[in-house]
Amino acid sequence: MATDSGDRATFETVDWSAVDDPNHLPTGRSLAFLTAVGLLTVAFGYDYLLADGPLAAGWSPTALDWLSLVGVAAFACYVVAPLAQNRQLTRRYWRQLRRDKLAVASLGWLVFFALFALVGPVILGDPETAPMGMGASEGRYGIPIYQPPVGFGVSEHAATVCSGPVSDGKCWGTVLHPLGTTNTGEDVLAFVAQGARIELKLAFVSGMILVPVATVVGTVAAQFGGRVDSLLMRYVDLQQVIPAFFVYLVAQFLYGGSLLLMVVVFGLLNWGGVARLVRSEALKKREAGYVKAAQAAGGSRLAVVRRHLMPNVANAVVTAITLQIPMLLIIETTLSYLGLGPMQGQSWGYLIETNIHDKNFPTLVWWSVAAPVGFLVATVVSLNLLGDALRDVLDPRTDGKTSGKTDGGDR
Amino acid sequence: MTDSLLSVRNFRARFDGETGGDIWAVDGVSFDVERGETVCLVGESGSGKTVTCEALTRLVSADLDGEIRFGGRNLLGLSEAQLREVRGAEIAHVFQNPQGALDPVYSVGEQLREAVERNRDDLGESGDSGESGDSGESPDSPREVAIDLLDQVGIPEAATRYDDYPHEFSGGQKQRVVIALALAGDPDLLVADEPTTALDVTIQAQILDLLGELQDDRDVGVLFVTHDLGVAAQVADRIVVMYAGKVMERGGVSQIFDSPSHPYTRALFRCLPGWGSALDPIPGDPIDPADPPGGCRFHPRCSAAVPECGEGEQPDLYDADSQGESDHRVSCVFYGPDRNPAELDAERPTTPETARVPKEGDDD
Amino acid sequence: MTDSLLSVRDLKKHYPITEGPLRKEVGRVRAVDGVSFEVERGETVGLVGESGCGKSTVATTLMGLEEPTAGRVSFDGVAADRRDSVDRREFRRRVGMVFQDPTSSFDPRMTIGESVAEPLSIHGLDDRARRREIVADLLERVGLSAEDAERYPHQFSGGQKQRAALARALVLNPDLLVADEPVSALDVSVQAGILSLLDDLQREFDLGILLISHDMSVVREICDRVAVMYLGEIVETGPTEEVLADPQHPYTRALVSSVPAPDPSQRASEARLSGDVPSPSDPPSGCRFHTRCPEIIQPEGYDFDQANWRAVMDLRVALGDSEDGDFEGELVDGEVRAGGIRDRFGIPDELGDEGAEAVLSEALDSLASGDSESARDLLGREFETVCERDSPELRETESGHPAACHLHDERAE
Repeated sequence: MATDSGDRATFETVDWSAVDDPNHLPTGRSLAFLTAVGLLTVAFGYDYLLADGPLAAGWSPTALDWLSLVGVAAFACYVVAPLAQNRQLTRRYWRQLRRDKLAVASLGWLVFFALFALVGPVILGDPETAPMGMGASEGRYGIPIYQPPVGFGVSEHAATVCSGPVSDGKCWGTVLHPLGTTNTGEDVLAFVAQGARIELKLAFVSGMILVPVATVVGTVAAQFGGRVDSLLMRYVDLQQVIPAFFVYLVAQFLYGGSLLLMVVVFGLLNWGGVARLVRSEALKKREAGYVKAAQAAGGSRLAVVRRHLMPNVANAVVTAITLQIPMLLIIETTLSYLGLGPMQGQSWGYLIETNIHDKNFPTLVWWSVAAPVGFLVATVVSLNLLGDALRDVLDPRTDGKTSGKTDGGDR
Repeated sequence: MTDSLLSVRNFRARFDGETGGDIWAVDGVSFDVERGETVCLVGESGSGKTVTCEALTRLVSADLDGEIRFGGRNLLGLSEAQLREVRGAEIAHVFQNPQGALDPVYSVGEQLREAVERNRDDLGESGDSGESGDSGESPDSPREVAIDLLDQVGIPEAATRYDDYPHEFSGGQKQRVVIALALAGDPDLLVADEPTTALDVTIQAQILDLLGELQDDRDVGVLFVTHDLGVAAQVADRIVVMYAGKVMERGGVSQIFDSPSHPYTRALFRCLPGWGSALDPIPGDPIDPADPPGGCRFHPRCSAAVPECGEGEQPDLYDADSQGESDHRVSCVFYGPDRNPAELDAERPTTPETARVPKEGDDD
Repeated sequence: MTDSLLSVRDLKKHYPITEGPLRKEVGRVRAVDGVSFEVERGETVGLVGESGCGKSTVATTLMGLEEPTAGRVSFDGVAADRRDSVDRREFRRRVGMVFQDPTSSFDPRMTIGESVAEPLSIHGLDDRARRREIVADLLERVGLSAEDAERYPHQFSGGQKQRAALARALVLNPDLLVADEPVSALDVSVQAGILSLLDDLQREFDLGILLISHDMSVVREICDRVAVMYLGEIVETGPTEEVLADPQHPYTRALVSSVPAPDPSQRASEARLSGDVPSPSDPPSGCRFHTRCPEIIQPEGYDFDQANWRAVMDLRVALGDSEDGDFEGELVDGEVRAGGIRDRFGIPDELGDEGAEAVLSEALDSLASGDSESARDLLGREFETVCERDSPELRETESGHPAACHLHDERAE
């Protein structure tokens, strides 16, 4: 019990009458986020009310693009910035993640997918006029349909035009169309890239709706209990009996389909399940000593939600969201396949549908089906695997340095 | 010694450490349990007492080594199928947490009847007589046996309570039911792992009484695991004091309590709250099981430690009483050949007697 | 009384039992039912009792984590319901709390340092460097090291976590520490360390400590005064030495003698308490301990052997509990004979007192004929004792400290 603490501040020396009540100013992060949203609002207002034509450099953003930008701002402020600020923590997460080879591969794929979706359509352009498409082909009829992917060959007579080398009576794939072309001569790679961007926007924006809404509703319901809880959960009950799919179909019929509509309908109607999960998790955590300790020290209920409950339900949120988003991707693809999709003609589902019903499938154009299906499966599986791994990574108890509990039955 | 009901010799249990190393949770433990006798394994968490008793019927997933002789065979050599015959029918367990030991979706009676029937099947007697329905039962139908067991463990109105579910019982009654479950196979050895730790003191006293009565009636051996020296003093015939997977001291209950000999045992007495002396905590933290110290496991925390304590292996279990053979054995270098245990007392003036002031005025 | 650091007056906390979608109240769990005590500066008061006696509810209620149903909690002269927001903040700052389970006491996602510093930031100490210094200093004072601030809870042992929990409770420099079973999850050797730390801290900072525990030995070790709780009420209170050496309430006596002595030559032979603690949703009338009390007062006009009288009361308690007909059911298809009932409750074939025997026989006969109601009524009418009729008040006893037991009424009169 050493008391010679020199000049060091000790808890007895704090003069509490000189300490102000805690200010409730937003944190730097929230400030940055609010600023970003403010700027975006101004830009949006300008674009919507004043500017004619493209906003800048030939780019006229859609409503969904604006939403995506808000999502990007949130992602940067609440995911990227904390990770960049707390290097130690980031390193620990990375160290932890690195042990799981599958998770690293999944992360790798998702990063590639995101880059591909962002950059791919710009480089590759429109599938019909893709740089390696129309312009490059010098066929008899000009449209290089049924081109096989690189490394594969099809009968010379099947492909009306062969833009690759011909040998042994076969038309071989060419780097001009790395993944081949469709039955209407579109470049599959460019098509997949274009579809990927749709999927990315869908995943990102609906994720940015789902995560905060579900987390806030779940934790607040758990922490405040009573009427607040009843009200929120009854609403969730109500919401869950409304089939998002049906609402989407009706809305599409009324207002015309758009990706924005789909994101809004599915984003706003699908958080119920996640919120319920978060709530049950938060109910457990609410009984933990650290929550009581924070309250006993004078922390308000909202402060407890923010400081303790939200971080501690992150596991549940990550798990739920990495199941929910793949489901949305699959729904979107299915809708497009059925011809009900929001971005008809650009989506993976459309690509699959038009080619799978080609009379030459599967001898020819199997690649036009395999490519989007492959991308979809890889993305969905990666999200699931990464979600599983993140659940462990985010848990500080799995640090690898824990000593083995050998005498579990003892006190 | 050869006729002991249970005889554990140089028993070791190894777990895989999370970082790859081995963890010897139990590292060379020997003791016996005789019929009709209660042996207490006393120790703190991490001492390996729970692993030891769960390993008897291989309820732990560890690599086991050594010899556990019971009923004329080495239990460690038995196959899983042979072990199943031992479990319940010959060695039965009572666990710490009665809540967890009972399945909440079955009524207490069903669980008990199942245990009775399972045991009959094991003995080769066809157990189908009880299947004929609830009415018109023969005197020793499984249901009747189960009710009788509930009655024996002191559940009032056993026949009515038969159909109740575990949540309808209080904590103490649940532990009684768990004991009834353990008795269903009419075992020779009852292994009770902290059976009263989760209970209130007044209920604890009831359960300890019950265990004592049952032991007298059935002449079973009891291996009783506890961290509570008070409980040990009440129930034990002999005591084995464990620390970090090793036996520190063992002997008859009065030997241990009247003349505790190992510095660890003495230190334990000194930190018992509420019994007179000023509290004297054991310095330092429990050892890391993945990286135990050399020599005596207790030496880093021992106030009497000399350099020799940190060398080699855990000292042998020397005779605590230098004159002649006794059952009181201590694993401490001060009791070794050519050493004088009195040196220990010289190191530390506190005598064990100060740790044990009788509870004055309780009995008026 | 206004000068007490903490003063609790007639505190009640009832939890409604609700049913149906409209949450209609169908009953109440009387977890705490009229509890009064004081804690002075520099004093350790123990609140002791078995699980379900309401001692932890007292803690959460007086901390303001739950609203009391009735009663008054004053801290330093200011009643809880009179506090304005400044007082409330001050109250929070001046009262620290330690919980039972050291593992769940810490947010697994925060370092120990962050957790210990949390109350500081809650109360507006925004200077990060200063917070860090305070925490480092405090961690050393509770027997950890300054570097431990950077580590996560799972890297600590239970005892170390409990030390850190003490640091967190002390970080606002409180005057009162409420410790809810602070050592019951720890090994004895670790317990001793925490208890002596508590003792040292109290002396150093002149802390008032309210220690809540089920463990008589812990209370005996560090408490100056003790209050014994049973089913939401305090049955006895006084200086620890006096209460434990000369307990005046039969429940305290039973509790003290139930603690196993670490001495094989003192194997307990006293009569055990029978039965379990009744449910606080339907507490027994009169003295709440009368259903288990070995010293229950005999009805007027009869002269029982005390053990027999207890056995007859056990039968009455069982009859009272079996309103849904359990008891009748069993008696009808079990052994219907009255002798079986005597056997079950340990009542001898002949009670010493002839009048009592006549009443009992009659009651058993009606029981055997399946009429448990009239048996219950008869026994209730004839064998009514003051213990079930009147609720005893806490009053001074000859030994000098108060207890709530009718045994002392008699002597007083």
